[in-house]
Amino acid sequence: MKLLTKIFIIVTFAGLISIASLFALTYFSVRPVLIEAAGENLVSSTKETMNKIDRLLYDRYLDVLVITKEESFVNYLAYGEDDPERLNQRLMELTQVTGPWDALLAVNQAGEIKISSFSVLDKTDSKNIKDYPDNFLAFERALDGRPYYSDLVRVDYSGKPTIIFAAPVYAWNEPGRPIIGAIIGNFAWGAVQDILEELPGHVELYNREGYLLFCNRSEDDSDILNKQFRSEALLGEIFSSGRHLEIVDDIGEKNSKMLEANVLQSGFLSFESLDWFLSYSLPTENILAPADRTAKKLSLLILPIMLAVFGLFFLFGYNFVVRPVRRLTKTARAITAGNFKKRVDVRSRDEIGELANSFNEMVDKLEALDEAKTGFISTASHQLRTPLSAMNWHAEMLLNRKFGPLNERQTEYLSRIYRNNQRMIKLVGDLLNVSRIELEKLAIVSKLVDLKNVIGGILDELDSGIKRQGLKLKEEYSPEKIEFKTDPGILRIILQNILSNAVKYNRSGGEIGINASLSGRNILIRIVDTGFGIGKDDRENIWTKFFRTKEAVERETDGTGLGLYITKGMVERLGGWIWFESEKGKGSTFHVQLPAINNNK
Amino acid sequence: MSKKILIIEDEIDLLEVLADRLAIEGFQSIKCKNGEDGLLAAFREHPDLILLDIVMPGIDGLQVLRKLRADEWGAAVPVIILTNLSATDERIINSMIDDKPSFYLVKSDWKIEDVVRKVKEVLNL
Repeated sequence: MKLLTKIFIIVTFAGLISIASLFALTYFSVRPVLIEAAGENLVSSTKETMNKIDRLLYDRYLDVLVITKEESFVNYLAYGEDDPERLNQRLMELTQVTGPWDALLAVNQAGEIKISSFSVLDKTDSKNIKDYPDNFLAFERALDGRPYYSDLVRVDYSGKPTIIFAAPVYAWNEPGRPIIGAIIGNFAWGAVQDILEELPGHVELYNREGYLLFCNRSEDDSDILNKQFRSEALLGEIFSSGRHLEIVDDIGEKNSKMLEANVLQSGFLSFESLDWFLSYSLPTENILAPADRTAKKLSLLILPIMLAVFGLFFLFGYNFVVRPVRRLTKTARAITAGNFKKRVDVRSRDEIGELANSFNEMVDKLEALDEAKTGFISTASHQLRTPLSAMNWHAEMLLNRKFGPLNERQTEYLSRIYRNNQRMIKLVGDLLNVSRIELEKLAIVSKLVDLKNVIGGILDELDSGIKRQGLKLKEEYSPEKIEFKTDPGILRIILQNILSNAVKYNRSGGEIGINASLSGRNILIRIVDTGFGIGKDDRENIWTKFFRTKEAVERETDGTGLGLYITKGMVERLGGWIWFESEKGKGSTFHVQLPAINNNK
Repeated sequence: MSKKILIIEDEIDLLEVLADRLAIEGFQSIKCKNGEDGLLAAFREHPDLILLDIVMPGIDGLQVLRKLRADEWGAAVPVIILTNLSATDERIINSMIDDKPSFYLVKSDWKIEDVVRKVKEVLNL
């Protein structure tokens, strides 16, 4: 796997984890705070509603007390005077300014219902308070001299839920102000229901014993005073702390949650037995939607920041790790390819910088070693040449019979000495050229050369080989005379190497085609042979030092494997290109392109 | 009258064989084994052509050529440089171009016959 891919994976992984954890952190830290705030809101609105109910009931309590002071009622209950019609009228008026009431009664000390509102009493014939048990309880308490209010009860005469308020009526003018009767009010429960119906969500009102007083989800009121609050323990907690907030399952809808606030009544009427509590719940979806939205918004805000941060990490990783390493690799490859002048340009002071520095030091050493090697070859070649040229000239003198005739054997043996000496000279010359190329010390002395002359000279030298192989030569020059400025020595070595290969490795009776042309600013020389060609596997290696194909080794044991290496180096030194095409068994074509800046034009 | 050729070459074998070969052609050879002797011989004998080796102990071929060219007579005398060219020689030869050698040749690459031919060519024979 590439380094870049690894860094990418690590950074992406780290990024995803960080983003996810930050997202979760933000979400789960913001959410509870917002939920708590929403819960507080719910609790306070519940409390408000509870207070409203309390106020409503307390006002009714006061209503009853006020009505006991009504003069006409007192007189009537005390003395039985006054017009019943007028009294009823008055009661109707009071019912309208106070209440709302299901029933409002004035009862005398004997328990006779003297005045009554509405037609409650029409349903039952009895005018005796004893026949109305709930109201009778209230009546008895009132006669004891205490104002009274009941919990929610179902009155038997109508079956309706109500709260019974009662207060004693005192005589005005009698000494000691004896109790002469009672005013009893049956509160119209619908008023409380109306308040609760206004609320959205789920509302349930419970009394102290945990019986349901109101539920906005019930179809009828059959549950009232029947259904118990769901948990005894929770009931205890609500009564001890006055409030409770929790998330509960929605009974009405599956898989949805509600935030439920339970608030205990804490108003004027709560002093004795009437401490009800209101259980008010709203779907979490509604109430928590803003919380979730805010949490999500915050988390999403973090996302681009995190992405940018990790993008930066990635960029840093690329810049400080991948790029220098790539540069190092590129340089190492160039050096492996033989360019010892290359150095890595990494200036950082980190581990990679250290690696680059020690790498450069290593290459310095390598370069020095390589130069020493090449320098050694250069010196050694020079030293070798002196004795070789002495042997050369002496043998030549003898062979040319400058000092008398030789017999056949002597001639043959001397020729062998001469030929082997020549081979040695060629090898030393090749090595010297290699070291020149590698040391970049190949001096160029440009002169105007006639290409045809140069090639002609080389062909003269190769003549014996050409004749031996019976090769046909085809020369083509366009224009006929190609003159250009170049180093004649180097040009000669280039063409000599290619042409001698074309001769050496050709088939008997084959052909050599030489085609030279001037095109634009370039001289293009094409040398075609009909030899055994270069196999696909060898094509890459053909320019390598000391490389010889299997076929070449079989054919010519003398070769050094330096010819094409030198040729390529020299062509490039002259600023040109060399390339070839070859088909195995059919022959090769070498192309040499050289710049012709100063041609004869 | 036969032409006088001065050979300055520290390798005695090469010096001898060249002198022998040139003698066969009828040239009169003056053999010198180092730069100092060569210069003295040159100014004393005024040869028609000088064959000059480069790498020599003491005064090398380069200095000999420079001193020759500085002389009124020596400025015009044909000089053929004999080398066994190495990378260092190349630099020397390039620096020598101003001193106008007539020709330079690589001993190991040249047949002795070709050297003789070149000598004759330079002397216009």
